[in-house]
Amino acid sequence: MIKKVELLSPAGDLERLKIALLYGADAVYIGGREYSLRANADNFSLDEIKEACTFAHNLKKKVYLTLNIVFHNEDLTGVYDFIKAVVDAGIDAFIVSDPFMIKYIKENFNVEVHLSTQASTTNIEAVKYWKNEKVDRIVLAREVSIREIEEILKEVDIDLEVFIHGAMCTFYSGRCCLSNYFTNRDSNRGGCAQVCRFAFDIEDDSNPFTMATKDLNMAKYLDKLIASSVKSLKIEGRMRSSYYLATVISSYRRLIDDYYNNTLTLEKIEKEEKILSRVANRETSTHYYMKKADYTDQYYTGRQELSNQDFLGLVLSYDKKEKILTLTERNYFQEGDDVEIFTPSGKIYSFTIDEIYDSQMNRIKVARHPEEIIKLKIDFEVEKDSMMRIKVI
Amino acid sequence: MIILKLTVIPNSVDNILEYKKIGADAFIFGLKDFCSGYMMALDIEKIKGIVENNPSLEIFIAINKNIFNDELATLEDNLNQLDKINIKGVLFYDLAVLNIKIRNKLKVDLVWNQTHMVTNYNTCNYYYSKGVNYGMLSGEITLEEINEIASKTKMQLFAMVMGYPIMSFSRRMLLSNYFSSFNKKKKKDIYNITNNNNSYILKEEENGNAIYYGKPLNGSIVLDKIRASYLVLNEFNIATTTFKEILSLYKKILIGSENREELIRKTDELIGAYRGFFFQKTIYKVKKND
Repeated sequence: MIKKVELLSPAGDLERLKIALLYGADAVYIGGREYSLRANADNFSLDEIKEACTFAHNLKKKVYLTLNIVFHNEDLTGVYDFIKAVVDAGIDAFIVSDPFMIKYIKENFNVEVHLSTQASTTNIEAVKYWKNEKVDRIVLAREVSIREIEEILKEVDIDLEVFIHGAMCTFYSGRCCLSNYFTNRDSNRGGCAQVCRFAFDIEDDSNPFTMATKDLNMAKYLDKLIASSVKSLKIEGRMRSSYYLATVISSYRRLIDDYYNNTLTLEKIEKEEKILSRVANRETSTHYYMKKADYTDQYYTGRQELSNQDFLGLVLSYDKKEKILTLTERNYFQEGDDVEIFTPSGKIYSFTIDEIYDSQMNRIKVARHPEEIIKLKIDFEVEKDSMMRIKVI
Repeated sequence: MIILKLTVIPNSVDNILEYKKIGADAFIFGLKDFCSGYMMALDIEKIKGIVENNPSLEIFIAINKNIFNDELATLEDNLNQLDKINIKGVLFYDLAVLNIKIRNKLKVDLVWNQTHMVTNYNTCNYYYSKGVNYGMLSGEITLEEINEIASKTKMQLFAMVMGYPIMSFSRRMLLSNYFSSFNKKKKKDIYNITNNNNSYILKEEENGNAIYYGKPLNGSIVLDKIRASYLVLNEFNIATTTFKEILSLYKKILIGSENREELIRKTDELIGAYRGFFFQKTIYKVKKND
C-alpha cells in the first residue's frame, strides 16, 4: 500500500489541535509554553501536551513540538527538564534549529528530531551535514524550488518537509532581527513583531516602500510537490482560527486523497482554490517553488489584510428525531441565505436556511449575535464539529 | 589571557596597509559571489595576491550567503583553493561550507558566522567539537552574555564593536521589485528608508537585500571589558577619514591610554553613542514555567 504524503497542521491550542486532526491532518505541530517561536500563541501546558498526544495517538496521528528558538545562555537553564517532560508526555518529534539541542536530544532520548526551517537549509551539502547529525527530517527553507527539492532527494535519502500554505517571511528564516531593533522584541525567541509588514518612506520616491509578501498557496502544484517525494506538506499558522484550519486542512486533505486515488482534476483543484480563497486574508502566490520570487509575490500599495465573515457557526449537535441542528453562531446570517456545512469527514452539504430558532426554540429571522446558541431546521444529519459557512460559488 | 585584535571589514583594498599602520590587526574580505552584506567582494586570484604581498596580515574570508545547489561546485572549488592560501580562516553561514571542509579534510579554519544565531556557549562548544575554532557573536546579545560565552567556550570569538548593524537579509530583490512594481528603475543599490522618524539602510546585491540599522554601533565603551578576541569594525557607510579616526581612537583605548573617557567622547562625536544591545536585553523572550 502506498504511504501517502503527510499533511501537517499547526495548532495554537488544544481546541484547534482537535479540529485539525478531525478535519484530516495526519500530524500537528504545537508549541509548549517555553522555547517556541510563537510566544504570542496560547501554546500548550504539559498537561495539555499529554492530552494532545493521547488524542492524536488514538487517531493514529502524531504531535510534533517546536523547540526552535535561538537559545541564549539563560534559556539553557531548565530546557533539559522540559525536554524530558515532553518526551514523557508522548510527543513524536521535536522541531529544533539549534545543533547542540539536536545532538543532546538524539543522544538522550528515543524520539525524532526535525530540523526547523529556522536553519534555512537550501542545498544538498547542508542536507548531508544534518543527515550525518542524525536529524530525522529537514524542514527546508522557503526559498527553494521544486527542482532543487528533487535534486536534493536524488542525492540524499532523508525525509523532507515543505510549507505549502500560509504566510511567508520576507527574509531568510533565522536571518531577520528587525523586531529586535525596532521594538526590542527578540524575533528569534518568539517575539517577531512583523516589521516586514510596516510601510516606510523611501528617498527619491513618493510611494510608500513596503516589503510585505503575499501568502503561499500550492494547491495548484500539489501534484508536483508530492511527485518530488517530499514526506510532509506543512500548513503555516499557529495563530490561525479553528475555522481557517478546518477549511484549509479539509481542502488539502481532499486534494491529497484525490491525487492518490487518481481522481485529481483541474476542476477539483479550482473548486478547492475557491474554498481556500474564501479564508485567505491576503493574496497568494507560489513564491520560490516555480520561479525565483519577484515583484509579483509582494505588496507595494494599498491594504494587505482582507476581513472575512464567511464562518457562520460551529455545529454542536444534531437531533435526528426533531431534525434540529444546534450551533454556536460566529457571524450574521438570516433566513433565505445560501450556506453550506462542511464536515470533519470531508462532506459538504449546501442548502438554503429556512427556519432559524434561538436556544429556547423561539422562531427568529436573523442570527446577529456571535457566540449565541442557534438552532436550524434541516433534513440531513451532520457530525459534531462541522462548520457552517457562506456557500462557496 | 585574551589578546584583543582590531579586525576591519574595509570598503576597499586601497587602504588596508594604512589601516594596519593605524592599528588594524586583522581583515575580513567577502568572497565574490558568496558573501552577503559586504561592500567589497574579492575573487580568489585577488585574495591570493593580497596574501602573497602582505604575509603579516591576518586575513579572513567571508562566505556568508545562503548557498543553493547550482552554486555548490563553485563553492567547493573556491574552498579547495582557499585551503591552499595562507589565510587565517573562512567565515561561514551555510552548513554546506562545514560539510565540504569535513568531507575534503580541509585544513583551513572556519568561523561560525550565522549572524543572529551565535548566542550561547553550548552551541559554540558544539561547533568547536566539529573543528570550528572561531565564532562571530550575534550583535543582539548583551556584554554580559558575550563574556559568559567567552568564559565557557574554547572557541575564539569575534564581536562587532563598530559599524552599522545588519538587521536582516532576504533573497528577494526588494529594491528592484519595488521599482518594478511602479514601472520604474532603481537608480542605485543603496537607499535610505524611514519609519517613525528613524532611518534604515537598504542595500541590494546580486544575492538579495540586506537591511542595516540607521545608526552605527559605537562599542568604544566596552573595549576594555569585552572578552572576544577579534573586535570587528565595519567601514560600511562610513567616510574613510572618519573611519581612520575611529580606528585610531579604538586602538588608543585598547592599549589603555590614560584619557579613556576623553577618547570615548571623541568617538561619540564622530559616529554617535549608539551602544546596540551591549547593555540592553531583548524582551518578549519565552514564557517561563506555568
